[in-house]
Amino acid sequence: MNGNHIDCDKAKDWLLDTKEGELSSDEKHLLDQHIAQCLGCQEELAVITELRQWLKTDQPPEPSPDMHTKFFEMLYQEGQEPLSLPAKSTKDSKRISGPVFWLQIAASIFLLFTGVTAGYWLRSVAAGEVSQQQIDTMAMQVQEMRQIMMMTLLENPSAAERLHAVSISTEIDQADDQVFTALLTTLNYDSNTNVRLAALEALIRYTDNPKVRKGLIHSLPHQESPVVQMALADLMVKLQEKGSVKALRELLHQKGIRGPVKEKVKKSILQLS
Amino acid sequence: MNRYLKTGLLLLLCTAVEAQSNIKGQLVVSLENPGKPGTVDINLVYGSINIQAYAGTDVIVDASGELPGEKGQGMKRLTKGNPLGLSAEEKNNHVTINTNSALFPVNVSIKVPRRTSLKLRTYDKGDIIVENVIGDMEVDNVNGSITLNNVGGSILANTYNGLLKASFRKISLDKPMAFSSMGGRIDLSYPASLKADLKVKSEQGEVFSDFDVSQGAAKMVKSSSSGVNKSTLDDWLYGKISGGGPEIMISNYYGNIYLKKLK
Amino acid sequence: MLRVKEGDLFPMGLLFKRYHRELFGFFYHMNGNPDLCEDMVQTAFYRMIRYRNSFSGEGAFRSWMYQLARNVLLDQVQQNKRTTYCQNLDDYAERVGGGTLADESLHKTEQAVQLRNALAKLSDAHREVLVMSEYQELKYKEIAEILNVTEGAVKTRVHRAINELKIIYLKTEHER
Repeated sequence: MNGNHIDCDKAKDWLLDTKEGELSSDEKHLLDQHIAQCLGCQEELAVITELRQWLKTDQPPEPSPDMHTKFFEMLYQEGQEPLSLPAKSTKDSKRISGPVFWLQIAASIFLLFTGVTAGYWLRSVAAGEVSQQQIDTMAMQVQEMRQIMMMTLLENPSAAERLHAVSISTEIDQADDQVFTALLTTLNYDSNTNVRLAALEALIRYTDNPKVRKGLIHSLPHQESPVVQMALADLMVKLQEKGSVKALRELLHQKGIRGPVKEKVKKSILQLS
Repeated sequence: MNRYLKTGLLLLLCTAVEAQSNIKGQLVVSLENPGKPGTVDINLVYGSINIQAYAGTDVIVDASGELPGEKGQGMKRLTKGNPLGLSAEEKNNHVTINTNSALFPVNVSIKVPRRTSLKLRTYDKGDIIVENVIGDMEVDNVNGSITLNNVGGSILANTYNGLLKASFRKISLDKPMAFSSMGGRIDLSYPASLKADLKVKSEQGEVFSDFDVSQGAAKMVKSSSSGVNKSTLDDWLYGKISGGGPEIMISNYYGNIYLKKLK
Repeated sequence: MLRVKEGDLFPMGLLFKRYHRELFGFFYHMNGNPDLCEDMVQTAFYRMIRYRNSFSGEGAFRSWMYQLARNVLLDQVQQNKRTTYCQNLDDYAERVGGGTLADESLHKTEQAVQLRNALAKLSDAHREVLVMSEYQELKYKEIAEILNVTEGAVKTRVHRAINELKIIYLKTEHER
């Protein structure tokens, strides 16, 4: 601190640093004191304020939603690259770049879901001495990529893309809880009836999982679309899921439930009890 | 500068015509970026929606409706303001159209550029018709029919009570589609070159097709309760047309399902 | 962020969600072409993924991100053998000036175009610190880390840039 007062040069200097966090509170105090007494610096402050206003007249536009899609496609493809492998001689990496390259071409992500297993086998053969642990890590990465892809698509504003996400999910070999949760969330909350219906259809293959069955039962009262309500009731009968009777009864008392659905639900309850 | 938030330049012509309080209104909405396909989003409670593709770049909305209430005893009712509540908002090529259709039926006809995505919903007192448009479409009706004529893109259509009919242009279809109805017939016509994976389910109706469908095995519904594992055949029908392609999901409860070759 | 370094790509998605807008803004203020900026953001994130091993884990992720972003900018300029910034000015004026705008927004547009012209007159080094400090709201200390210079040097540079801009601003005001 240079004493209790600052001169105009110093003040004009500090005026430029008035952004958050650049001046200490003591410095701010001194600056305010000086400005209060100095006409020249008041004018300077006005100009700087105007200047900052002026700078604000140019704000960046909103980036397009494509950016997201492109990024996640790229991320997915990167996930296919064995990046974390120890560095190899260039010769070696050229040798494996063949199949990897073609795989990537084929890796318009959607095709690749089925190709992943084969791709991994190829690569682990080519890479030879890659340890089991590294393969596991890679496999985990792929699993994560797939899920990110699916989750991201499930958030897409376009119903067509969300439908796509659901159909991708059916090609995940070993779906885990995250996938189930995503599908169940879609079944419960997606704004489009057909997307919900597709999620339900996708979940049918996992009905031997207790979590999925529980999720399906919980989903019953959430459904407002007659088509989905009836499909769920049907499935409960197929599953002989007696635990669903309570939820079905709840559905029966739902406001605005339609005639044919009511009949169906009643019948289902009879079949289950 | 809020240029990307800028509401499209609107031209509102509201004319009260004739007795019986039949009101018409028109809006012309310019897309922020006419070079790129836009999206038209409309959500009615009562009324019909008719979408036609045309060669222009603006979205032209014509709405009409009949005001409820007393007839004017032979006199003309002079409407004030904008009784149809017709308004539109444009943001990033996304056009949202609003009306007072919750109060009385409003019938909306919209001319859109050929490549436009659509999000259309109505609940009662009206059908939805779309003609010649290419784009992703989300179409929902409850008490009326859905007719999509000579369209392209990815379609997700659902109706509760009405007929669902769609015919597709001869362009490549590369995205999944889904059609569902509760009580209505579903009638789809595709170009003969169609390649697709099919998932079809009709509870009470029959499924007909003149495509060569190679049927796949039905899925098993697995359940295990108190230690007993049980499998039941699921009643979804799975098949492939010309080796398979994007998924087409079709499901209804009553009424037949037709999957025809476009003649 | 360390998770990314260890080969786990999952956080990259989160980082993208969190920072893509900021990065887009940075490129936008540096070159004024939104389409080009989207590609540049993509390139920057691509490099972050590829070179994640170069992230030392010391210092902030944000600084590292800006370091990579600056390289993307440099490459862009070299590729085009010109400063894209100035070249795009006409486009810009046309883009924001086009269409029918109300008086108020017209005035704003005019201001924005003048601002762009003014920023274009600054040297790259000055414009860069000005954008970082005024638009990206980076602290001097962070900018110093990104540019690998002392905090004092950043401060001097920012001050010079603002003063330079001020002179241009007062001149345009005067001309109006």
